[in-house]
This record gives sequence, structure tokens and C-alpha cells, in this order.
Amino acid sequence: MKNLTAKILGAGPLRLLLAVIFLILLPLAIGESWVSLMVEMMALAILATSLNILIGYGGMVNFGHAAYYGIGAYTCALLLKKAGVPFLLAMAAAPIFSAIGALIIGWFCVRLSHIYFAMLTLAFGQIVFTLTLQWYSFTGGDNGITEIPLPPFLQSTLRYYYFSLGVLILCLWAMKRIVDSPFGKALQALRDNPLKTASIGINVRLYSWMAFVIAGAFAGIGGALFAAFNHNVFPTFMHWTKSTEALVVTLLGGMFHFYGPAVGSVILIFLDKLVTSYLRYWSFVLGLLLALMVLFFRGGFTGFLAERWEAYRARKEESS
Amino acid sequence: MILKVDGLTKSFGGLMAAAHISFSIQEGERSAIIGPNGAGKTTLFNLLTGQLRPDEGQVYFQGEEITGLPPHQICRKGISRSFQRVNIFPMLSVFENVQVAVLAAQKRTRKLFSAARKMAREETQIILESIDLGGEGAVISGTLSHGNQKRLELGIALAGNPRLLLLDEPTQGMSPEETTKAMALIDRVTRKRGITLLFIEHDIGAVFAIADMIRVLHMGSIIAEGKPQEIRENDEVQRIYLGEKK
Repeated sequence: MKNLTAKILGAGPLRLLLAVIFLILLPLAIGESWVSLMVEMMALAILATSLNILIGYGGMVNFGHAAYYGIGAYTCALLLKKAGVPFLLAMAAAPIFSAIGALIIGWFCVRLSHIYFAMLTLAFGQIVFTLTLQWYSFTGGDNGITEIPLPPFLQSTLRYYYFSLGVLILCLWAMKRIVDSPFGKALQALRDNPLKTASIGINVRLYSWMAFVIAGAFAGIGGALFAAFNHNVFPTFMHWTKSTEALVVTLLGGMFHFYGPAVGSVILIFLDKLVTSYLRYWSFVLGLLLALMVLFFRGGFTGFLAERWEAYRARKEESS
Repeated sequence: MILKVDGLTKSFGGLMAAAHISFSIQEGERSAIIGPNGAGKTTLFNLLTGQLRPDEGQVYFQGEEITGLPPHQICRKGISRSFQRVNIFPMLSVFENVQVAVLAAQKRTRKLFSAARKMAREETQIILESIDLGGEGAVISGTLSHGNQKRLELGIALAGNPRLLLLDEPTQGMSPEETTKAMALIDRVTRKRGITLLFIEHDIGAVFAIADMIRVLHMGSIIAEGKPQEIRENDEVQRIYLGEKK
């Protein structure tokens, strides 16, 4: 029996299937406020995982990633509210517009590296934020866009939860395929050693740019998913603090594991809810947690688990 | 003639790192570039493989001008190089290091949705075995010993299926015993694959062991060029490089 459990837990696809079944059943057992919290987690997970394509796989720290999340959110909101476009079409348009934004901004950013790259992404992110804030006639400025209509089939929290779960699975599946592809390998080579990557015949700038656009597109899906659920969008969706939230989640969950940022999203939102209901000092707790992570567990939560798991297996092999 | 260099010049501020360097390399030649520190050896390599753009002069590879092309394009033409300091992808496994280079050479790295782990396995394994790392595929390359990392770098360079291989101090940081082994390995794999070899080396023993042509670089210029025996007997080389033994 013990052997069988270990076998099931050890197999990748089976483990994922169990996780999915768990996520399908979970909302039936918990209250509605927790279900809506989980939708938030899923949107953040998509944003953070897309960011991690750049950070964990590409070695490019992006401080303006929320811009593409915001573009996706506004695309979806504007199409639903002002153009009356069908819901699924508005959802599909979000990553396209985010990708276009990332295509333009990325073209400039990938010309620089390290801190200069990071600063430029931050600068462009804030430009997008400011444009959205000031363009009252189109974006509603700081009032945002409110009362975004949802189609009847998604109007209950539970239904939207299942829709989000579908989108999340699709996004994670696609992103996993990408990081495991030859392109993904090239991206990891780039992270490890850009100079060497160029000398094996890979166009470093082009590949960084492609990664930037791909990450932007997926961030847009996350934004649209949350925008429709929230019924409102505001310029704060693209503010740099939103970018750092995705960054924090990535570090918390672990950037060297594909599911790290998703795990981090769950931890962050769960702790936020838990701590703020007892304490007023959420940012203090978060800061402490982050400091501990960076000082003692560089691999984040998933890195820590993987380490424990390896140690456990080594011990078991020794004893048998 | 596989490589022709004509009047290559590069200066940094007032310093002439390369001063009208001209030479040509025959197909199948295994030649060494020697010279004291700061002679401009690595600069010459950087000019040949596109890390630096020359101020003047031209580089022709297999009859085609490649002057000033970016590194990734020069690599695709058939010139691979290794760097002086160990230059691998430290967080990738040994297997992945070579595999990504094979995939890049096959122009398959733009594939976004196919599983890389099933691709180019055989080609990669053949290269790993030729550099005696066949059994280390799963090891994270950053944890390898210095000597094995150098070897892996050779493997990455071979993955590009080059016609011309440029090695910048392939035995740097190795013990005399490791040096002998490394040079034998380089000699063996380049011969077997018919690759023309150009290498920078400080270890004179290693140079005389496998080079059939030696060029001596001093202050950005080639001051002597010839067979090992001729270089050994050249007075000027004796004086400025090999030390005044007589």
C-alpha cells in the first residue's frame, strides 16, 4: 500500500490529474468568499507564471510586467462594456492586444540587459499606467471602467470558478509546453550565458524579444480573467506595485520550478486573507516572509519542498 | 584556403590590439597562435567570431566575406569557438548543454510547442561520448570539475558541426597531466571530424605536440609564422617570447 501511494505521487501526469480533481471538488466544500479568493489566485498564478518565463527561464527581471496584465484587462473590459463583443471573443482579444504592446515595448527593452533592462521595463510600465490614468475619454481615468457585463452562463461565482480553472489549466499547459520546447531550452541557455548562447548560433535579441511577447500575451489572459470577474478595472492593475506583486509571488513560490509562481500565488493570497483578519500589519508579515525566503530558501517554497523530497529519497535508498 | 584574414586592425583608445594582421589558413591545418600576455590573441579571436568589429580589414571564410557579422551568424557559417574562461550553461545538465547547441545548429530552437527532451538525443550522445562524458549526461554541468567543464565546452563547440574550430586556451588552469590528455582529445576529435583547428595556447609543450603551423603574435602584429621547427629556431621569437635561453 505504501509502495502504491509512493508510485502514484511519484508519477508526474497522475499527480497533476489528482491536483485537478482536487481543484474541481474543493469549491463544493468551502464557502463562496473562499471560492472567489481562489479565482483571484488563479488570475495571479497566470500572471506570475508568465513573468517567470522571463525571470526563471530567461534570466530577465521585468519590473513592468503588470502593463500587459492591465492591457489585457482593459481590452476585455472595453470590448465587453463599450463594444458589446461576445464574452469569449473579448477574452481571446486580450492576449492579442497585450502581445502587441509587448512587441512594441519589448523591441526597445531587449536591447539592454541586467539592471538597464529592468529599469526600462519599469519605465515603459509606468508610461502605460500614466496613459491609462490620463486618457479619461477612453479608459475612464482613475474611475476605471465599472459594471462590466458578464454573460448569464458565468454569473455565479462557482461557474466563474470553473471557467477560470479551465483557462488556468490551458494557460499552464501551453506555457509548460513552451518552456520544455527547444525554444525553452534556448531561453534557459540564454539565462545561463548570453555570450555563449550567441556563439552557438542563437540570435539572443530575437529570442529575448519572443519570450517578452509570449510572457506579455499570457499576462493579458490573466488580466482579462480577473477584470471580468471583478466587474471593474482600474489603472492600478498596471501600476508597478502590481508588477512587484507578481515578482514577490514568483520568489515566494520558487522561480526554478515551473509551478513555483502558481504555488506562490496561493500562499500570498491565502496569507493576505488570513493575516489581515487578525493583524493590521500585512506588509510587515510579507516583508519578513520574503526576507526569510531570500536569505534561507533561495529556491522558494517549491525549491524547499524539492530539497526535502530529495533528502527523503536519499535516506530511503540508504536504508533499503 | 578556409580562412583568409586581410589587414585586420582594431584599436582601443590609443592601444593597437590588432595592427594590420594578415594570414590565411589551409583546410585541415592545425595551427596555434602564441604570444605573451596582452599580445592581442583573444582580441584576434573576437574579431574573427564577431564579438568585436574591426576598424579596418576583412575576414573571409570559405571565400565569403564575414567581416563584422554578428556572432550567431558567423557560427552558422561553420566557425565554432570556445572561450578562455570556462563558458558553459551552468544550470543546465551536461546533456542539455550539448543538446541545445545541436538544436541551434539544426535551426530547431524556434520550435515552441514540441518537446525538446525527445529531440537530437542520438547526435548529442555521440558528441558526449566523443569527449568522454557519455555517462555524465544527467549531471548539472556547473558541478563538474574544471577539466570536465573544459571538455564540455569542446563538446558544445563540436555540436555546431563546424568546419573551423577556434579554441582560446583549451588547457587553461589544467595540471600537466590533464593538459596532455586534453590536447590528445582535441587532436583526436578534430582529426576524426576533419575540422580545421586554430588555437591559442600558453603551454608550449601542448603547442608543439599538435600544431603543424605556429603564428607568433606580439603587440598586435604577427612577427613570425612557420612550422614548429622554424619557430623554435627563430631568434626574434626566442628573444621576446620563449625567453633568452641562449
